[in-house]
Amino acid sequence: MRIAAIALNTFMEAVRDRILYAILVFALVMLAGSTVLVTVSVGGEEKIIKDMGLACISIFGSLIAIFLGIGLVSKEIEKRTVYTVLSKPIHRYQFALGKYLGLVLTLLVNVSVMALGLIGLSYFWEGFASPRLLLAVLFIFLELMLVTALALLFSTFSSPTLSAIFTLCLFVAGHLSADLRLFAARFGGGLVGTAAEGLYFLLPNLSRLDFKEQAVYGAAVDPGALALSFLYAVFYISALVLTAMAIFQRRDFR
Amino acid sequence: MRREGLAIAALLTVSLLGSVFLSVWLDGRRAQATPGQGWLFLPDSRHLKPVLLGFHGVAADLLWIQIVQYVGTHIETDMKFPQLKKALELATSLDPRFLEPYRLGGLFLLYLARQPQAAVSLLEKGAAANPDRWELFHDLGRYYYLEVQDYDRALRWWERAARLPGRPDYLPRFVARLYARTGHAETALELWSELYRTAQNDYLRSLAVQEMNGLKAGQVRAR
Repeated sequence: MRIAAIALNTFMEAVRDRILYAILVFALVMLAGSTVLVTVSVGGEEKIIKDMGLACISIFGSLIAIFLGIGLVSKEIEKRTVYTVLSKPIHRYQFALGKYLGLVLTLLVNVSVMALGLIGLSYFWEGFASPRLLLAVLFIFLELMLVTALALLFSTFSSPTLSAIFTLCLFVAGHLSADLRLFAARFGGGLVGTAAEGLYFLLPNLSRLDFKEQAVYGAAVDPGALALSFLYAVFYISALVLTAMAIFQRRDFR
Repeated sequence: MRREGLAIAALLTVSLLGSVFLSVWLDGRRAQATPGQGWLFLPDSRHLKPVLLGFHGVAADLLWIQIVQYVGTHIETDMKFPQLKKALELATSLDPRFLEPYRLGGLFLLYLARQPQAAVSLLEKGAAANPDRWELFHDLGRYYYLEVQDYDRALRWWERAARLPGRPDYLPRFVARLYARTGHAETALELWSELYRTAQNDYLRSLAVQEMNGLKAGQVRAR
Protein backbone atom coordinates (compact mmCIF):
# COMPACT_ATOMS: atom_id res chain seq x y z
CA MET A 1 0.00 0.00 0.00
CA ARG A 2 2.81 2.40 0.94
CA ILE A 3 4.73 1.42 -2.17
CA ALA A 4 1.60 2.06 -4.28
CA ALA A 5 1.15 5.49 -2.67
CA ILE A 6 4.76 6.49 -3.47
CA ALA A 7 4.44 5.06 -6.99
CA LEU A 8 1.28 7.05 -7.62
CA ASN A 9 2.87 10.19 -6.22
CA THR A 10 5.92 9.71 -8.44
CA PHE A 11 3.61 9.22 -11.42
CA MET A 12 1.69 12.41 -10.62
CA GLU A 13 4.97 14.28 -10.19
CA ALA A 14 6.25 13.00 -13.55
CA VAL A 15 2.99 13.89 -15.25
CA ARG A 16 3.47 17.48 -14.11
CA ASP A 17 6.97 17.56 -15.58
CA ARG A 18 7.08 19.62 -18.77
CA ILE A 19 10.02 17.67 -20.19
CA LEU A 20 7.77 14.61 -20.39
CA TYR A 21 5.27 16.41 -22.60
CA ALA A 22 8.01 17.92 -24.72
CA ILE A 23 9.47 14.47 -25.42
CA LEU A 24 6.06 12.89 -25.99
CA VAL A 25 4.91 15.61 -28.40
CA PHE A 26 8.22 15.42 -30.25
CA ALA A 27 7.88 11.63 -30.52
CA LEU A 28 4.35 11.91 -31.90
CA VAL A 29 5.43 14.59 -34.38
CA MET A 30 8.30 12.34 -35.53
CA LEU A 31 5.87 9.44 -35.84
CA ALA A 32 3.52 11.51 -37.97
CA GLY A 33 6.54 12.87 -39.87
CA SER A 34 7.38 9.37 -41.06
CA THR A 35 4.28 9.54 -43.30
CA VAL A 36 5.79 12.60 -44.98
CA LEU A 37 9.14 10.84 -45.28
CA VAL A 38 7.70 7.87 -47.15
CA THR A 39 6.32 10.13 -49.84
CA VAL A 40 9.88 10.73 -51.07
CA SER A 41 10.72 7.02 -51.02
CA VAL A 42 10.04 4.47 -53.74
CA GLY A 43 8.60 1.30 -52.24
CA GLY A 44 8.91 -0.07 -48.72
CA GLU A 45 6.50 2.50 -47.25
CA GLU A 46 4.99 0.13 -44.66
CA LYS A 47 8.43 -1.03 -43.57
CA ILE A 48 9.71 2.53 -43.19
CA ILE A 49 6.67 3.56 -41.12
CA LYS A 50 7.05 0.57 -38.78
CA ASP A 51 10.82 1.03 -38.49
CA MET A 52 10.49 4.72 -37.73
CA GLY A 53 7.63 4.18 -35.31
CA LEU A 54 9.40 1.50 -33.30
CA ALA A 55 12.62 3.55 -33.29
CA CYS A 56 10.67 6.59 -32.03
CA ILE A 57 9.14 4.57 -29.17
CA SER A 58 12.54 3.15 -28.26
CA ILE A 59 14.56 6.39 -28.50
CA PHE A 60 12.08 8.75 -26.89
CA GLY A 61 11.11 6.16 -24.28
CA SER A 62 14.79 5.80 -23.38
CA LEU A 63 15.12 9.59 -23.11
CA ILE A 64 12.16 9.68 -20.70
CA ALA A 65 13.54 6.72 -18.73
CA ILE A 66 16.99 8.29 -18.42
CA PHE A 67 16.09 11.92 -17.82
CA LEU A 68 13.32 11.22 -15.32
CA GLY A 69 15.04 8.16 -13.84
CA ILE A 70 18.27 9.91 -12.88
CA GLY A 71 16.43 12.29 -10.58
CA LEU A 72 14.26 9.64 -8.94
CA VAL A 73 16.16 9.46 -5.67
CA SER A 74 18.94 12.03 -5.99
CA LYS A 75 16.51 14.90 -6.55
CA GLU A 76 14.62 13.93 -3.39
CA ILE A 77 17.89 14.00 -1.46
CA GLU A 78 18.98 17.27 -3.05
CA LYS A 79 15.67 18.98 -2.23
CA ARG A 80 15.70 17.28 1.20
CA THR A 81 12.13 16.03 0.70
CA VAL A 82 13.46 12.54 1.39
CA TYR A 83 13.74 13.45 5.11
CA THR A 84 10.04 14.26 5.32
CA VAL A 85 9.05 11.05 3.57
CA LEU A 86 11.41 8.80 5.51
CA SER A 87 10.34 10.32 8.84
CA LYS A 88 6.99 8.58 8.21
CA PRO A 89 6.58 4.87 9.00
CA ILE A 90 8.04 3.78 5.70
CA HIS A 91 11.06 1.67 4.89
CA ARG A 92 13.76 2.96 2.60
CA TYR A 93 13.41 -0.02 0.27
CA GLN A 94 9.69 0.76 -0.06
CA PHE A 95 10.56 4.31 -1.03
CA ALA A 96 13.05 3.22 -3.72
CA LEU A 97 10.70 0.55 -5.09
CA GLY A 98 7.75 2.95 -5.11
CA LYS A 99 9.81 5.54 -7.00
CA TYR A 100 10.80 2.92 -9.59
CA LEU A 101 7.24 1.65 -10.07
CA GLY A 102 5.96 5.22 -10.41
CA LEU A 103 8.31 5.91 -13.29
CA VAL A 104 7.48 2.56 -14.86
CA LEU A 105 3.80 3.57 -14.75
CA THR A 106 4.68 6.89 -16.41
CA LEU A 107 6.58 5.00 -19.12
CA LEU A 108 3.68 2.61 -19.60
CA VAL A 109 1.32 5.50 -20.29
CA ASN A 110 3.79 7.16 -22.68
CA VAL A 111 4.66 3.99 -24.54
CA SER A 112 0.94 3.17 -24.85
CA VAL A 113 0.23 6.59 -26.40
CA MET A 114 3.11 6.20 -28.87
CA ALA A 115 2.16 2.58 -29.64
CA LEU A 116 -1.43 3.64 -30.35
CA GLY A 117 -0.08 6.26 -32.76
CA LEU A 118 2.07 3.65 -34.52
CA ILE A 119 -0.74 1.08 -34.73
CA GLY A 120 -3.05 3.76 -36.14
CA LEU A 121 -0.48 4.70 -38.80
CA SER A 122 0.21 1.07 -39.63
CA TYR A 123 -3.53 0.41 -39.97
CA PHE A 124 -3.88 3.48 -42.22
CA TRP A 125 -1.12 2.28 -44.58
CA GLU A 126 -1.64 -1.47 -44.60
CA GLY A 127 -5.29 -1.85 -43.68
CA PHE A 128 -4.34 -3.95 -40.67
CA ALA A 129 -1.95 -3.86 -37.72
CA SER A 130 0.21 -6.91 -37.11
CA PRO A 131 0.12 -8.30 -33.54
CA ARG A 132 3.91 -8.64 -33.85
CA LEU A 133 4.07 -4.85 -33.60
CA LEU A 134 2.61 -5.10 -30.11
CA LEU A 135 5.12 -7.81 -29.27
CA ALA A 136 8.00 -5.55 -30.36
CA VAL A 137 6.52 -2.69 -28.30
CA LEU A 138 6.22 -4.96 -25.25
CA PHE A 139 9.91 -5.81 -25.47
CA ILE A 140 10.82 -2.15 -26.00
CA PHE A 141 8.90 -1.46 -22.80
CA LEU A 142 10.91 -4.17 -21.00
CA GLU A 143 14.09 -2.52 -22.29
CA LEU A 144 12.86 0.82 -20.94
CA MET A 145 12.11 -0.81 -17.57
CA LEU A 146 15.69 -2.06 -17.54
CA VAL A 147 17.08 1.38 -18.42
CA THR A 148 14.92 2.91 -15.66
CA ALA A 149 16.29 0.36 -13.19
CA LEU A 150 19.83 1.37 -14.24
CA ALA A 151 18.98 5.05 -13.76
CA LEU A 152 17.47 4.30 -10.35
CA LEU A 153 20.55 2.34 -9.30
CA PHE A 154 22.91 5.19 -10.18
CA SER A 155 20.50 7.72 -8.73
CA THR A 156 20.83 6.10 -5.30
CA PHE A 157 24.52 6.92 -4.93
CA SER A 158 25.50 9.66 -7.41
CA SER A 159 24.46 13.04 -8.75
CA PRO A 160 21.91 13.37 -11.61
CA THR A 161 24.66 14.37 -14.10
CA LEU A 162 26.83 11.38 -13.25
CA SER A 163 23.80 9.10 -13.22
CA ALA A 164 22.86 10.28 -16.72
CA ILE A 165 26.39 9.63 -17.98
CA PHE A 166 26.58 6.16 -16.37
CA THR A 167 23.13 5.15 -17.61
CA LEU A 168 23.81 6.37 -21.15
CA CYS A 169 27.14 4.50 -21.17
CA LEU A 170 25.47 1.27 -20.05
CA PHE A 171 22.65 1.79 -22.55
CA VAL A 172 25.23 1.98 -25.35
CA ALA A 173 27.28 -0.91 -23.90
CA GLY A 174 24.09 -2.96 -23.60
CA HIS A 175 23.58 -2.70 -27.34
CA LEU A 176 27.22 -3.60 -28.01
CA SER A 177 27.56 -6.52 -25.60
CA ALA A 178 27.20 -9.10 -28.40
CA ASP A 179 30.32 -7.56 -29.98
CA LEU A 180 32.05 -7.87 -26.62
CA ARG A 181 31.70 -11.64 -26.89
CA LEU A 182 33.25 -11.58 -30.38
CA PHE A 183 36.06 -9.55 -28.88
CA ALA A 184 36.46 -12.15 -26.11
CA ALA A 185 36.54 -14.96 -28.66
CA ARG A 186 39.28 -13.20 -30.60
CA PHE A 187 41.45 -12.98 -27.49
CA GLY A 188 40.89 -16.63 -26.60
CA GLY A 189 41.20 -17.66 -22.98
CA GLY A 190 43.71 -14.95 -21.96
CA LEU A 191 43.14 -12.42 -19.21
CA VAL A 192 41.60 -9.86 -21.60
CA GLY A 193 39.41 -12.57 -23.13
CA THR A 194 38.17 -13.76 -19.73
CA ALA A 195 37.54 -10.16 -18.61
CA ALA A 196 35.58 -9.46 -21.81
CA GLU A 197 33.59 -12.68 -21.36
CA GLY A 198 32.85 -11.67 -17.75
CA LEU A 199 31.73 -8.22 -18.84
CA TYR A 200 29.51 -9.79 -21.49
CA PHE A 201 27.52 -11.59 -18.79
CA LEU A 202 27.61 -8.66 -16.36
CA LEU A 203 26.41 -5.94 -18.74
CA PRO A 204 22.80 -5.90 -19.85
CA ASN A 205 22.35 -7.47 -23.29
CA LEU A 206 19.73 -5.21 -24.80
CA SER A 207 19.89 -6.88 -28.21
CA ARG A 208 18.13 -9.86 -26.60
CA LEU A 209 15.07 -7.66 -26.17
CA ASP A 210 15.05 -6.48 -29.78
CA PHE A 211 12.15 -7.95 -31.75
CA LYS A 212 11.77 -4.99 -34.11
CA GLU A 213 12.88 -6.93 -37.18
CA GLN A 214 10.32 -9.67 -36.62
CA ALA A 215 7.59 -7.04 -36.27
CA VAL A 216 8.63 -5.15 -39.39
CA TYR A 217 8.95 -8.21 -41.65
CA GLY A 218 6.24 -10.31 -40.01
CA ALA A 219 8.84 -13.03 -39.52
CA ALA A 220 8.20 -16.03 -37.31
CA VAL A 221 9.13 -15.61 -33.65
CA ASP A 222 10.58 -18.51 -31.69
CA PRO A 223 8.30 -18.82 -28.60
CA GLY A 224 11.16 -20.34 -26.60
CA ALA A 225 13.48 -17.43 -27.34
CA LEU A 226 10.66 -15.04 -26.56
CA ALA A 227 9.97 -16.60 -23.16
CA LEU A 228 13.68 -16.76 -22.29
CA SER A 229 14.21 -13.13 -23.33
CA PHE A 230 11.26 -12.11 -21.18
CA LEU A 231 12.66 -14.01 -18.19
CA TYR A 232 16.13 -12.56 -18.81
CA ALA A 233 14.68 -9.05 -18.62
CA VAL A 234 12.69 -9.85 -15.46
CA PHE A 235 15.74 -11.34 -13.70
CA TYR A 236 18.07 -8.52 -14.74
CA ILE A 237 15.61 -5.79 -13.74
CA SER A 238 15.01 -7.52 -10.37
CA ALA A 239 18.77 -7.68 -9.74
CA LEU A 240 19.17 -3.96 -10.53
CA VAL A 241 16.21 -2.82 -8.42
CA LEU A 242 17.28 -5.02 -5.49
CA THR A 243 20.83 -3.60 -5.67
CA ALA A 244 19.41 -0.05 -5.77
CA MET A 245 17.24 -0.84 -2.74
CA ALA A 246 20.21 -2.30 -0.84
CA ILE A 247 22.38 0.75 -1.58
CA PHE A 248 19.61 3.17 -0.61
CA GLN A 249 19.03 1.21 2.59
CA ARG A 250 22.62 1.81 3.68
CA ARG A 251 23.00 5.34 2.32
CA ASP A 252 24.03 8.06 4.76
CA PHE A 253 22.11 11.27 3.96
CA ARG A 254 24.27 13.65 5.96
CA MET B 1 10.42 52.16 -23.68
CA ARG B 2 8.54 52.50 -26.96
CA ARG B 3 11.79 53.42 -28.78
CA GLU B 4 13.50 50.33 -27.37
CA GLY B 5 10.63 48.14 -28.56
CA LEU B 6 10.85 49.59 -32.06
CA ALA B 7 14.61 49.10 -32.13
CA ILE B 8 14.25 45.44 -31.11
CA ALA B 9 11.56 44.88 -33.75
CA ALA B 10 13.73 46.49 -36.44
CA LEU B 11 16.78 44.42 -35.44
CA LEU B 12 14.68 41.27 -35.37
CA THR B 13 13.38 41.97 -38.88
CA VAL B 14 16.90 42.63 -40.18
CA SER B 15 18.23 39.47 -38.53
CA LEU B 16 15.45 37.26 -39.90
CA LEU B 17 15.66 38.70 -43.43
CA GLY B 18 19.46 38.49 -43.28
CA SER B 19 19.41 34.81 -42.32
CA VAL B 20 16.94 33.97 -45.11
CA PHE B 21 19.01 35.95 -47.66
CA LEU B 22 22.27 34.26 -46.56
CA SER B 23 20.62 30.85 -46.64
CA VAL B 24 19.45 31.34 -50.25
CA TRP B 25 22.87 32.71 -51.25
CA LEU B 26 24.73 29.77 -49.65
CA ASP B 27 22.40 27.21 -51.27
CA GLY B 28 23.09 28.80 -54.66
CA ARG B 29 26.86 28.69 -54.14
CA ARG B 30 26.76 25.08 -52.96
CA ALA B 31 24.65 24.00 -55.94
CA GLN B 32 27.12 25.72 -58.32
CA ALA B 33 30.16 24.17 -56.68
CA THR B 34 28.88 20.59 -56.48
CA PRO B 35 25.92 19.91 -58.75
CA GLY B 36 23.99 16.83 -57.55
CA GLN B 37 26.69 15.79 -55.12
CA GLY B 38 26.17 12.49 -53.37
CA TRP B 39 27.88 11.30 -50.23
CA LEU B 40 31.34 12.41 -49.20
CA PHE B 41 31.90 9.20 -47.28
CA LEU B 42 30.07 5.90 -47.17
CA PRO B 43 31.38 3.79 -44.29
CA ASP B 44 31.79 0.04 -44.27
CA SER B 45 28.64 -1.65 -42.92
CA ARG B 46 30.76 -3.88 -40.61
CA HIS B 47 31.91 -0.76 -38.79
CA LEU B 48 28.68 1.19 -39.05
CA LYS B 49 26.23 -1.49 -37.90
CA PRO B 50 27.44 -1.83 -34.27
CA VAL B 51 27.43 1.95 -33.82
CA LEU B 52 23.76 2.12 -34.79
CA LEU B 53 22.77 0.37 -31.51
CA GLY B 54 20.11 -1.83 -33.08
CA PHE B 55 18.61 0.89 -35.27
CA HIS B 56 20.20 -0.41 -38.49
CA GLY B 57 16.72 -0.92 -40.00
CA VAL B 58 15.96 2.79 -39.71
CA ALA B 59 19.43 3.65 -41.02
CA ALA B 60 18.80 1.46 -44.07
CA ASP B 61 15.43 3.18 -44.63
CA LEU B 62 16.98 6.64 -44.44
CA LEU B 63 19.83 5.63 -46.74
CA TRP B 64 17.35 4.13 -49.23
CA ILE B 65 15.41 7.42 -49.30
CA GLN B 66 18.73 9.22 -49.90
CA ILE B 67 19.56 6.79 -52.72
CA VAL B 68 16.23 7.54 -54.39
CA GLN B 69 16.98 11.28 -54.14
CA TYR B 70 20.53 10.69 -55.43
CA VAL B 71 19.25 8.79 -58.45
CA GLY B 72 16.60 11.42 -59.12
CA THR B 73 19.14 14.27 -58.91
CA HIS B 74 21.59 12.56 -61.28
CA ILE B 75 18.85 11.68 -63.76
CA GLU B 76 18.12 15.40 -63.96
CA THR B 77 21.79 16.43 -64.21
CA ASP B 78 24.61 14.24 -65.58
CA MET B 79 23.21 10.67 -65.66
CA LYS B 80 26.31 9.51 -63.80
CA PHE B 81 25.94 7.36 -60.70
CA PRO B 82 29.44 6.77 -59.30
CA GLN B 83 28.31 6.05 -55.71
CA LEU B 84 25.15 4.11 -56.44
CA LYS B 85 26.68 0.63 -56.19
CA LYS B 86 28.40 1.33 -52.87
CA ALA B 87 25.36 3.02 -51.38
CA LEU B 88 23.14 0.08 -52.36
CA GLU B 89 25.65 -2.36 -50.93
CA LEU B 90 25.64 -0.43 -47.66
CA ALA B 91 21.83 -0.23 -47.48
CA THR B 92 21.44 -3.95 -48.17
CA SER B 93 24.14 -4.86 -45.64
CA LEU B 94 22.49 -2.72 -42.97
CA ASP B 95 19.15 -4.44 -43.52
CA PRO B 96 19.56 -7.60 -45.62
CA ARG B 97 15.79 -8.29 -45.58
CA PHE B 98 14.80 -4.93 -47.09
CA LEU B 99 13.79 -5.92 -50.65
CA GLU B 100 13.42 -2.54 -52.37
CA PRO B 101 17.14 -1.68 -52.48
CA TYR B 102 17.79 -5.02 -54.21
CA ARG B 103 14.85 -4.91 -56.61
CA LEU B 104 14.70 -1.23 -57.53
CA GLY B 105 18.41 -0.71 -56.91
CA GLY B 106 19.08 -3.56 -59.33
CA LEU B 107 16.98 -1.80 -61.96
CA PHE B 108 18.78 1.52 -61.29
CA LEU B 109 22.16 -0.19 -61.71
CA LEU B 110 21.08 -2.04 -64.83
CA TYR B 111 19.21 0.60 -66.79
CA LEU B 112 20.57 3.89 -65.43
CA ALA B 113 24.13 3.23 -64.28
CA ARG B 114 24.65 0.54 -66.97
CA GLN B 115 26.38 -1.79 -64.52
CA PRO B 116 24.77 -5.17 -65.26
CA GLN B 117 27.36 -7.15 -63.31
CA ALA B 118 26.78 -5.03 -60.21
CA ALA B 119 23.01 -5.43 -60.63
CA VAL B 120 23.31 -9.23 -60.83
CA SER B 121 25.65 -9.33 -57.82
CA LEU B 122 23.19 -7.23 -55.83
CA LEU B 123 20.25 -9.45 -56.75
CA GLU B 124 22.25 -12.61 -56.00
CA LYS B 125 23.21 -11.16 -52.62
CA GLY B 126 19.51 -10.48 -51.95
CA ALA B 127 18.49 -13.97 -53.06
CA ALA B 128 21.09 -15.51 -50.74
CA ALA B 129 19.90 -13.37 -47.81
CA ASN B 130 16.20 -13.97 -48.52
CA PRO B 131 15.83 -17.55 -49.75
CA ASP B 132 12.14 -17.48 -48.78
CA ARG B 133 11.21 -14.53 -51.07
CA TRP B 134 10.29 -15.25 -54.69
CA GLU B 135 10.81 -11.65 -55.85
CA LEU B 136 14.60 -11.72 -56.10
CA PHE B 137 14.74 -15.09 -57.90
CA HIS B 138 12.10 -13.74 -60.24
CA ASP B 139 14.13 -10.60 -60.97
CA LEU B 140 17.26 -12.64 -61.65
CA GLY B 141 15.28 -14.83 -64.07
CA ARG B 142 13.92 -11.72 -65.77
CA TYR B 143 17.44 -10.34 -66.16
CA TYR B 144 18.79 -13.50 -67.82
CA TYR B 145 15.67 -13.81 -69.98
CA LEU B 146 15.41 -10.24 -71.20
CA GLU B 147 18.94 -8.88 -71.08
CA VAL B 148 21.20 -11.86 -71.80
CA GLN B 149 18.72 -14.21 -73.49
CA ASP B 150 20.29 -17.01 -71.46
CA TYR B 151 17.13 -19.13 -71.17
CA ASP B 152 18.76 -21.95 -69.22
CA ARG B 153 19.79 -19.58 -66.43
CA ALA B 154 16.48 -17.73 -66.56
CA LEU B 155 14.76 -21.07 -66.20
CA ARG B 156 16.89 -22.02 -63.22
CA TRP B 157 15.99 -18.81 -61.32
CA TRP B 158 12.31 -18.83 -62.26
CA GLU B 159 12.00 -22.45 -61.27
CA ARG B 160 13.23 -21.56 -57.80
CA ALA B 161 10.91 -18.54 -57.66
CA ALA B 162 7.93 -20.66 -58.75
CA ARG B 163 8.42 -22.98 -55.76
CA LEU B 164 8.19 -20.16 -53.20
CA PRO B 165 5.03 -19.00 -51.43
CA GLY B 166 3.28 -15.88 -52.66
CA ARG B 167 4.71 -16.11 -56.21
CA PRO B 168 2.51 -14.72 -59.00
CA ASP B 169 0.31 -17.12 -60.96
CA TYR B 170 2.11 -16.52 -64.23
CA LEU B 171 5.45 -17.89 -62.98
CA PRO B 172 4.68 -21.61 -63.44
CA ARG B 173 3.45 -20.74 -66.96
CA PHE B 174 6.74 -19.00 -67.70
CA VAL B 175 8.66 -21.99 -66.43
CA ALA B 176 6.66 -24.44 -68.55
CA ARG B 177 7.09 -22.29 -71.65
CA LEU B 178 10.80 -21.95 -71.06
CA TYR B 179 11.18 -25.70 -70.72
CA ALA B 180 9.51 -26.07 -74.12
CA ARG B 181 11.75 -23.37 -75.60
CA THR B 182 14.96 -24.90 -74.25
CA GLY B 183 14.09 -28.31 -75.69
CA HIS B 184 12.71 -29.99 -72.59
CA ALA B 185 9.33 -30.86 -74.09
CA GLU B 186 8.63 -33.74 -71.66
CA THR B 187 9.22 -31.55 -68.60
CA ALA B 188 7.21 -28.74 -70.16
CA LEU B 189 4.29 -31.13 -70.75
CA GLU B 190 4.47 -32.31 -67.18
CA LEU B 191 4.46 -28.73 -65.89
CA TRP B 192 1.51 -27.72 -68.09
CA SER B 193 -0.53 -30.73 -67.00
CA GLU B 194 0.25 -29.88 -63.36
CA LEU B 195 -0.84 -26.32 -64.04
CA TYR B 196 -4.03 -27.61 -65.66
CA ARG B 197 -4.72 -29.76 -62.59
CA THR B 198 -4.21 -26.91 -60.10
CA ALA B 199 -5.67 -24.07 -62.20
CA GLN B 200 -8.20 -21.89 -60.41
CA ASN B 201 -9.95 -20.58 -63.52
CA ASP B 202 -11.07 -21.59 -67.03
CA TYR B 203 -8.64 -19.23 -68.78
CA LEU B 204 -5.63 -20.97 -67.23
CA ARG B 205 -7.06 -24.41 -67.97
CA SER B 206 -7.69 -23.60 -71.63
CA LEU B 207 -4.22 -22.04 -71.89
CA ALA B 208 -2.69 -25.21 -70.44
CA VAL B 209 -4.64 -27.39 -72.91
CA GLN B 210 -3.56 -25.18 -75.81
CA GLU B 211 0.09 -25.35 -74.79
CA MET B 212 -0.04 -29.10 -74.21
CA ASN B 213 -1.58 -29.64 -77.65
CA GLY B 214 1.13 -27.51 -79.24
CA LEU B 215 3.87 -29.45 -77.45
CA LYS B 216 2.37 -32.81 -78.41
CA ALA B 217 2.07 -31.73 -82.04
CA GLY B 218 5.70 -30.65 -81.96
CA GLN B 219 6.74 -34.03 -80.54
CA VAL B 220 4.82 -35.86 -83.28
CA ARG B 221 6.46 -33.69 -85.96
CA ALA B 222 9.87 -34.38 -84.49
CA ARG B 223 9.29 -38.12 -84.76
